[in-house]
Amino acid sequence: MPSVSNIALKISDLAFGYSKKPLLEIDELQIQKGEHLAVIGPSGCGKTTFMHLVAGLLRPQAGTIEIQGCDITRLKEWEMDRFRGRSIGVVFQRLHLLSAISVLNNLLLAQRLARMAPDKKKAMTLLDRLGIAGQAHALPAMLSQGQAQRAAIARAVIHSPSLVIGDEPTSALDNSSAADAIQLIKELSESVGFALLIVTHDERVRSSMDRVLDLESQT
Amino acid sequence: MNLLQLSLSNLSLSPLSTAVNILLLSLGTGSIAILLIATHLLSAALIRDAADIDLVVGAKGSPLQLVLSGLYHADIPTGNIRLSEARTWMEHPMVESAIPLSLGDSHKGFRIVGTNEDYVDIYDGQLAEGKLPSNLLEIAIGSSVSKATGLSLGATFAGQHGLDGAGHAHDEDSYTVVGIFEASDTVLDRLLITTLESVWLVHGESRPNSETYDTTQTNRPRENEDVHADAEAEASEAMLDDHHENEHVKHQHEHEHEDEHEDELISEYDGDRERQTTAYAEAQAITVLLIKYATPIAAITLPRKINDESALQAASPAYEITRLLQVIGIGIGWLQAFAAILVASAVLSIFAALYASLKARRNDLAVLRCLGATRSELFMLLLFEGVILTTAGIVFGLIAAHGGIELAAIALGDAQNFPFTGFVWAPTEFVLVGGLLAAGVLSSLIPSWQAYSTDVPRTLALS
Repeated sequence: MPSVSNIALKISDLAFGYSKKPLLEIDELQIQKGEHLAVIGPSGCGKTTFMHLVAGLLRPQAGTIEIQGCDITRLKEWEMDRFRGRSIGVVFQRLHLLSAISVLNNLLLAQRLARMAPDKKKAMTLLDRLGIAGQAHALPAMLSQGQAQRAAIARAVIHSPSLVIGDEPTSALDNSSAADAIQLIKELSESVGFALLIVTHDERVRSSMDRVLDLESQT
Repeated sequence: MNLLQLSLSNLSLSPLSTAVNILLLSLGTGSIAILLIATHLLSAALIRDAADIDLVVGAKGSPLQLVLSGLYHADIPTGNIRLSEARTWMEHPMVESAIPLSLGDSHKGFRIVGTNEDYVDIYDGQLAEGKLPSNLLEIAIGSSVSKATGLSLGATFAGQHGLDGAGHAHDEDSYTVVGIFEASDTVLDRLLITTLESVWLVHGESRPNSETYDTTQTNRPRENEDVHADAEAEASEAMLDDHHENEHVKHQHEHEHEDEHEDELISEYDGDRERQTTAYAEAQAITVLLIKYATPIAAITLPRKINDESALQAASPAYEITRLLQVIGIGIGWLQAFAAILVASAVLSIFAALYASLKARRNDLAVLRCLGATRSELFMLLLFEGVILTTAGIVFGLIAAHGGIELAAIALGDAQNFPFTGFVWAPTEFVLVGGLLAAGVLSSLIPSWQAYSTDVPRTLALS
């Protein structure tokens, strides 16, 4: 039995649906700190909805979602926003770096929204570790697909979250870049200590995770 | 990096649109600001130069012309009046003080005013150098006159007949500068002040020994003067009236008949002292009389009394200036309406720009929520952009308006009837700035609300 302090995510009796018939039901799920979980299932089974529920962007009809011991279903919306900023990192399918500001400023803004003092040195160290320090002051539009994905990963972990959620983070990348990206996230997870939850169709990603949650078998 | 910096960065992503919006708002703001500043400067100058004068009395004609010429030195005088007739009103119980002015000549566009010390006092005129004129052909000059003409103490010059610089010079009677006034930001800065007697002398009415003049008591009758004044001043009035009538036509008066009179008068001055005084009184005519009431009731009765019971005209500066500003105000109102349309266009343009930008940035807004931004912060992000655009438009508009007015003031120099400067802030500009900021905020409210209402899961799903 893992100790409570080691549980990054705990879901109990979760139910969500857009109509009377639930789209998603999960009786019990726990992810430990540093653990890597792949969420799989066919299209329409609720993978993205699951991700939005864990990120606090949607509210379940029933059940609880605890992140680091905090039941996010009880938080007010603005409290959830603040909590998300501090404790959760998100990597999107289509990267979604803010186009008006540089890569470095994307990272500093994420720190600011996590209510942390912007730490330029930490941001540069992270970018250097990901091999894109040279692009720190470039606008996202000037980056290659692989560089942009690294920048998005850096932004998701710059504030040392306890949980990082990836929504098909490798779907737009070629094999080599996808493998690099997953390897990087896993390395960062080990060094920073965050749990990793990746929604994916990608067999390469699935095979590299510690555990797999098949949503089709849950519904 | 904070939300304000992000707003700035967002605006810099579309520099052309941002520049056009700012330019549009600057044009509207600048246009309105120029009108507000000009109105403020004109009103302030009119009120300041009116000093404590309640009534201007002069020859019949346009009352506005009388006020503009007698008080503001911005128009041609309506004519001359007999000092003896003016005295009836100078000594009236309802009059606290009365200052006679004799006008008609100028130097390099600046008007020469024959008067007494009381006139300097109503503008709190202080001498920077020298003294006030007390003897014949002594003159003290305003600070703008000194600056523009380069005249200094001891300098001599001949006054020019007329007020437009087109008349002949009175070369035979040169003035000597004995005083220079400190800048007072009043009409005094643009005037050359001499004694009444000097003006009369220059116009050839008399050339007696200067020691016989009592230049400081012209608003009170002198000894022996009463006896002769009524009967004899008529001749001199006719003489100076001719002088001003010709000035109204082409300012090309030749003074031929004055020369004849001068010869006659000079021969009279060869006689005894009493005869000198008589000849001097004969020459006494003035252009206007500036009156301050002794009692508030005078405002109701005195002007009517003067207009009904004498050949003179009395005009109230307060009434005439209010009327003038109303007339000017109609024109200004139309210009302001046009400028307001410009501002409204600019505000609508800001709204359109923000709305279009919002549509293009829905994904960014959703991402910001995922990064931890609250709905209120997204609202503020868009609001900041609207306020930044509006503030930039206001700032550039005000700089253009004030800078433009200052440049125009420098280009036009000191000889303006109503000098102006860009280094002045009209109180109504506060209202303008407040109104524009409010309009900028209002134009941002709908895009801001839409940002606030961003449906993050739906937006991310559609991206």
